[in-house]
Amino acid sequence: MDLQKAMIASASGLRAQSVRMRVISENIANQNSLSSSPLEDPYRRKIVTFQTELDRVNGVEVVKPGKIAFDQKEFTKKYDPGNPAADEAGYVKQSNVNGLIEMMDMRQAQRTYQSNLNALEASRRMASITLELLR
Amino acid sequence: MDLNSIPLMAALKKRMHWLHSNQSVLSQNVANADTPGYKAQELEKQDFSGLVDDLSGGGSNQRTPSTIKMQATSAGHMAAGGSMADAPDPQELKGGEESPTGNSVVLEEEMIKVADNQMQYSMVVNLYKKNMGLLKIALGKGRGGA
Repeated sequence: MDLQKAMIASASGLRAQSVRMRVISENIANQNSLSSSPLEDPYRRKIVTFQTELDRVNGVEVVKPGKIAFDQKEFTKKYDPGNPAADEAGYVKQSNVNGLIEMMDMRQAQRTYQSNLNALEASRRMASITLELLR
Repeated sequence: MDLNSIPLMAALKKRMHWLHSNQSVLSQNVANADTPGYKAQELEKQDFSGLVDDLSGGGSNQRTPSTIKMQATSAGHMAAGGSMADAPDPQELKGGEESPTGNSVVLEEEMIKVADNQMQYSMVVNLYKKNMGLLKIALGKGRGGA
């Protein structure tokens, strides 16, 4: 049935967006995570990728969160000679998470999640008014 | 008696079928709103008045009015004899704006389409209900109407 397909597609969207939300939260939480020695790297920002996949059982194009990739942007450095992670020159590598970007990303995830929810609600209402016909 | 032998009922059924398919296409678009490279899709518009004309115009005394003629919009189109044409294939939506990632879904537009789809669906369901009411009146059961 087509309405079920619609709901499966919406549900896949919801799931994908919540994975994205989780990764964004991880990034924000680890914004200030440093390494404990100069040899190690601090927290590297994670990025979720999405891809379209054909659900062969139901014949719907659903969205699947793909591999979680790492942001290859360079770490910024901060002068802090007392830190155990400081190199010989006294610089400490900071994680490459940008709070502003994460907030924007979060907004977008939120918006798409809401839209998926609206579509799901519309499908559900259509199904329920069809059932009303029986009364 | 088969309800589908009433042209309007059959037409309403086809319309509901199309609206269902349309809903699933719209949901797919919304779900893939952030997928890089995804192209928004849409179903070809259904001509409802044409649907009713096709069904009622096929001879009122004929026993099989429940077949729908396929629309031929180009000289190269062939007529097919399938009765219940399966859900039409969604096509790429043309002329929309595209994001830098190659995604052409505009969330706002899709939301409007979802709302519109739903409104039309409730209209069709109500029409169906009213028609059933008419039949009920004819049968003399209750007061008809839902």
